[in-house]
Amino acid sequence: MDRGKQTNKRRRKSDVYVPLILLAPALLLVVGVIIYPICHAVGLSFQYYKLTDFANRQFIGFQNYIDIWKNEAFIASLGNTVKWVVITVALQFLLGLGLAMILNIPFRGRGVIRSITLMPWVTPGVVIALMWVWIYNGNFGILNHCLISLGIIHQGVPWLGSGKTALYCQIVTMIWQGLPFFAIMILAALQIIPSDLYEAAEISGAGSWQKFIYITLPQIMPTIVTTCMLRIIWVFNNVEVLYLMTGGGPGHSSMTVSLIAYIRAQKSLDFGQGSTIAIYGTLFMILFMAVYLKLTRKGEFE
Amino acid sequence: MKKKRLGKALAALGLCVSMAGTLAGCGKNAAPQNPSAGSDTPAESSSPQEDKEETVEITYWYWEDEQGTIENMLKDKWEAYAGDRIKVKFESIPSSSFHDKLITAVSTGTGPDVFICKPMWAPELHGMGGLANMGQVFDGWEYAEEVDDFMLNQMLCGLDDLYLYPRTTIVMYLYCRKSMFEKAGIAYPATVQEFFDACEKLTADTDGDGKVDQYGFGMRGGSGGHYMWSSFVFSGVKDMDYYDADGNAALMNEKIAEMNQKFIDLYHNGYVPPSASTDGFSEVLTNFKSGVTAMLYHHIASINTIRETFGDDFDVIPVPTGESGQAFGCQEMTGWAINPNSKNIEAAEEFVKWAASPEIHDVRCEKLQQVPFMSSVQTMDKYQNDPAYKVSMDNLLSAHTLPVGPELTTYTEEVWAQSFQRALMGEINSMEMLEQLDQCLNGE
Repeated sequence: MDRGKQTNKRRRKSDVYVPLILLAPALLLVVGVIIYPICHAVGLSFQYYKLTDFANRQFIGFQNYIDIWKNEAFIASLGNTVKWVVITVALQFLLGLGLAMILNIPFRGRGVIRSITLMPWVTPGVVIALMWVWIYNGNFGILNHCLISLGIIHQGVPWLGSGKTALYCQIVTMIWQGLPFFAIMILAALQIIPSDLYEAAEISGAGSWQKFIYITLPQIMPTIVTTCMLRIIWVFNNVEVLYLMTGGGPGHSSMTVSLIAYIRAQKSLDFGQGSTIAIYGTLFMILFMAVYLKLTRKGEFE
Repeated sequence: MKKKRLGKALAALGLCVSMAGTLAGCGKNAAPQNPSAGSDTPAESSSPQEDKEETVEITYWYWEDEQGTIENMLKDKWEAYAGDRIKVKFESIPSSSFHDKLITAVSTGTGPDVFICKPMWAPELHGMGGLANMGQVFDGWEYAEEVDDFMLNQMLCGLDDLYLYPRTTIVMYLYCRKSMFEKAGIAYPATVQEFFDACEKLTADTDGDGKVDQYGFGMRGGSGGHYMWSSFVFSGVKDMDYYDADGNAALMNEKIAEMNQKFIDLYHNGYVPPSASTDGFSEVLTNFKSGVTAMLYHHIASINTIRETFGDDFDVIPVPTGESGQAFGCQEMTGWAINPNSKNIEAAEEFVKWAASPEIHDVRCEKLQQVPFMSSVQTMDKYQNDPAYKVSMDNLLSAHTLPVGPELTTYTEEVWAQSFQRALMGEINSMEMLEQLDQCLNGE
């Protein structure tokens, strides 16, 4: 009887420890790669931590969180970030959907066109930024050349040098880069829609628009939700295109939250305030993530 | 069965131990395997093998220059000089990530033995214990007298002693297109007012299509434009500098605001390309090389590409003098630093002293287009007879460097470009721009 109890005790112990031991490598990885950097960033955000004044680093509580609201560039970056993310993702989605619908139609050379379509997505962001800087160049840019040749404008426009156009020009660049991702994701979803749904709709007398609204769109909706949310996160976090094309300028006209966090930490070497901005950015993204999880779960149930 | 397995495991373990012992015996630090080992008689302890000096290895971090060849050339020269005595491992780090990697390495107590260091990095590296004191090394250096006190003061970076050994310097000046000035019928500007007038006269519609296709000057509103801005704006006030005698930023001044407005007006009046607000170095250089602008503010490092493009159709002139009667020239320097965590400090010092010697300084100045600052190199004919070098050297001792302080990176990398661009777009006025710069430099 006692031996039986001891064996049960041992089993219970092993039931607790074995899973923990087996999970330990993965947990350590998560702690090292995700938890520690986040905790470190939170710790930095409560400090005066400038590498250029390293000897005077100190704990300052919430001072960084308060001071950053006095920074005009940060205030401007909030509105710019909303424009940057919403316009970019919305247009990427609409154009990507259109492109996917076209690529879903069988035609000769479709494989080649699909491969070409992917090119902007596989091109490094640095190359894209530098390429578009010269496209938009006020003196030698091909965009001005084309518009002047067509008689639309008479003098070169400094597209990136004007506060009115700089952000929107970079949005166009970003749309061009992210369009293929939407197109490929939606195309993959389109190709797994059972054809008998369309056949049944045709027998019932449904037109193209009705088939699109009542069959295609509901079928690809989970993919759209997932892709949109992923792109929102990626576009929000994008720094390279904005930094290389205008550095957030002119003035604050194309400054975003991620960009100002990067500049403050990596260029101004103020890791305290840089981390604070990054924490604010993370809080904004948590809101997005809440919506993301809610919508994707809803999609699963449907 | 279990006993058999245990026996095999023990045998394997024994074999491993004996192999490890054999391998250890092959190591270079292994004890001599002769009967006389351990003897302390002089005759036996000074075999020819032991007389040979042990090779010391140090690591040197640098970033590639535009030519990408100078450090390789130095590598060969160093090997010829030091032979097997001190081996230097030349490690090229991209300039864009050099600072980050250096800081990370130093903060973990590792990093290279010797590295290139910008003066603005010195306070943070010093605060982290990442800079070895070079004061005594420099004082005992045979070429110490060749370096002007002005250079040494710049290398102090506000620290208590010398931690950077002077390596390179460049002095800003103006490139002017000779043919454009001749066509406009004007002389090169000697004063800032003449410069502003020249910008207006050089702006023209050269092909008669009703559109301006030539501008007076390549204004740099993007990152790095603070050098040219300070040259044209600060020269309005005598003995002007970023900070006053009490160490407070002193940019909010009526005269400075007036000069700043004149500089901003170059953009508003269309005397600089309309893209100027975000133009960086590659844009202003391309504009000058393609004939879009008549004047370029840069330094000697671009002389080769300008010569290749224009041949003799350009001249180099010093930064114009302001109403104060003084010019506000600018220069940028680099130094050599030694990591105090280095296990071979003496070897590192020898390498730095060699690399800073007049012979190597000459190679660096000629091949890398840097301004000579050692007296014996400055007097060489090839530098004295070259106008670009001559103008640079003549203005070397009056050129200003950026103030080294905790707010400098925020000023250069963030606030200056943002506030200047906002002033160009009319969002803030000249004095408001200066106020923002003042607050930044004062750490407010």
